[in-house]
Amino acid sequence: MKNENKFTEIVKRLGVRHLIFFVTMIVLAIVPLFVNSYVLKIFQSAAINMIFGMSLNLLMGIGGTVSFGHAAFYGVGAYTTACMWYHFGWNFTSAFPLVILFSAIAGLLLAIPMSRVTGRYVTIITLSYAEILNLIMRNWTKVTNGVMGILNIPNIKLFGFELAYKDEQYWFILVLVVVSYVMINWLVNSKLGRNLQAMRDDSIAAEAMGIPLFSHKVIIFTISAIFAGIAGALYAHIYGYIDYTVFTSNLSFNCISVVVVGGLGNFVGTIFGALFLTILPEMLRNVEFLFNYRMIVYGVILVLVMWWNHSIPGAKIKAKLRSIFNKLIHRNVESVEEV
Amino acid sequence: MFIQLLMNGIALGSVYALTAIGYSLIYSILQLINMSNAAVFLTSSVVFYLLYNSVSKGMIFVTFILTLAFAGCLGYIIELVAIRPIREKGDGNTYALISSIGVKTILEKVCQGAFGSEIHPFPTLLAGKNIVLWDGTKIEWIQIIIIVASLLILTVMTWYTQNTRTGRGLRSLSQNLNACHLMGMPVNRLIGISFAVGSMLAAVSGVAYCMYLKSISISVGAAIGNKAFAATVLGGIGILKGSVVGGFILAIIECFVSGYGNSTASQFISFGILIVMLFIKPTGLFGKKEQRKV
Repeated sequence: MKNENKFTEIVKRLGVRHLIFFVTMIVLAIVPLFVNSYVLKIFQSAAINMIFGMSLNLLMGIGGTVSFGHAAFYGVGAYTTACMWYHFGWNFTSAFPLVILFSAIAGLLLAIPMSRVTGRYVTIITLSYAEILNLIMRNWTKVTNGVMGILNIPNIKLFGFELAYKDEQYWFILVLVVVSYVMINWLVNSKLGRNLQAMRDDSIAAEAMGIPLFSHKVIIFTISAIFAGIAGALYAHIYGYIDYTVFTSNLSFNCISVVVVGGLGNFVGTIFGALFLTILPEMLRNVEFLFNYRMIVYGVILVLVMWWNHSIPGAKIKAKLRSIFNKLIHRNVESVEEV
Repeated sequence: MFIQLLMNGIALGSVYALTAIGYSLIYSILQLINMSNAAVFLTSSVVFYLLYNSVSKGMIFVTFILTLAFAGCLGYIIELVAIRPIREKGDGNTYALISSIGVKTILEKVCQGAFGSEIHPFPTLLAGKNIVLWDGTKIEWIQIIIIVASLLILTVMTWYTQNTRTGRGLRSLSQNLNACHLMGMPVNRLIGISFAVGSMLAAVSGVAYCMYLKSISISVGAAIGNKAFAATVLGGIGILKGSVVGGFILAIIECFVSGYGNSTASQFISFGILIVMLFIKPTGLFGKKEQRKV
């Protein structure tokens, strides 16, 4: 009895969402003990997608701006760490501050035009910005090695300690997932985060209440870009090879699917969305007639989720399910009363 | 050199313009950027290729008409399945936009699965025949065919939107959707038709572009889709005239830059122009200023 009280107290203090998050992280942390290295690789990329998805969710769910070019920041992070290694032989630890710096600059550059516009221009500017950065990655041969890409990027080195094994790398990424989750949640509940949510709900009212829209939008873009850049840097080191084709608009759209599946502003949802959308296409690899078509999952999921949440038939089905559910509960209650 | 580049630019520009009209038409009615347009461009050229090599062997015009019919149906189905349910609930255009991105992903991946990622030769009209001008510049017949065909289509489109019942319906939809509802117009059907028309235009430009390149690969849609989108914004999104002009301007500048400058710069130029335009006049060349009501 006493234990139960303690448990409920913990749940109350942490919140159900956070509890689910930490339990999921613990479950994910023991995954490497049971699976082979191929499956572990999938889990690694799922964990990277979690950070990437959370960074976009910060922008979409809290900032209220849909970025259709988030792959650009991911690419900037990946190319920063890869180029630092390629040209100067820097390792992950020493390049990490630069990853943060450059992705922040990339975010800032986008944020300044972005914060002056609304509506359709958001789509246009983010898309074309990502496209321009992609062209730079492709054509600035001296730095990015152009179409060839950068090969044989070494493993992550933390202060001289090399993460040579897949499970070590995986645990390191999970630690970063937890750190970014905690930081993002702290940000969301801070004054800045609350101001941002007010802006998302009604920007004019928020401005009238004295919230500076411009600086807030710039800040949220920069922070979101930093997290995306970190995810990109991890990608570069885990996969060991990058080229410009990775960071196209398809990646941005996949990231949007991850966020949309999990729910806007719901960071635990993003964790599950990333897991689901990374593992499902890999599972479809085994189905022979779907092998070539496995990547349509991302598109199907986008349409289905939009259907479920924002369409009239979806709302009708939901209402029907709810009424059936209520009836079932009601019936049970009646039967109990009869007894 | 000059005339050669100009002709290249006009031919490419008509491809851009036809796709751009598809974006603009739907934007003018729903204020929705229909991302699936680029995928329809790709899908219909893939369908053209597959039909040409299997069902209607060697008959370009029959294949072309079949492809057009396919693209029209595809556009209508996209609207019916992915856009209409979301549009009717009225939660906001962002959700319909995300849904259209889903459609785009599905179509692209299906094409990739069916087609592979190799480059295939594409059937073309009057292959290898050139007109030689007075100063020795060669102009391919296919360029002239594309230019004439697209001018024809633009004329037909103008006539269609000005004079037919459906066209007038589309124009009134773009003026005021709610009033059209109240007047008892078949709004859903008209929007479906606008998607079908946009898709057919994308199909024409897709087939024309592949004929011009004489080859087809899976990356065709993405490149042209983005450029056409840039052209739409340049001319003012939602304004048909603007997107045609934007398409020609972008294509001609691109061809001249790659001819006299270098080809790397030509890849940047369209997005560079776009960004500059957004700073100077965000509503585009022909755009009118909007006022926001609180």
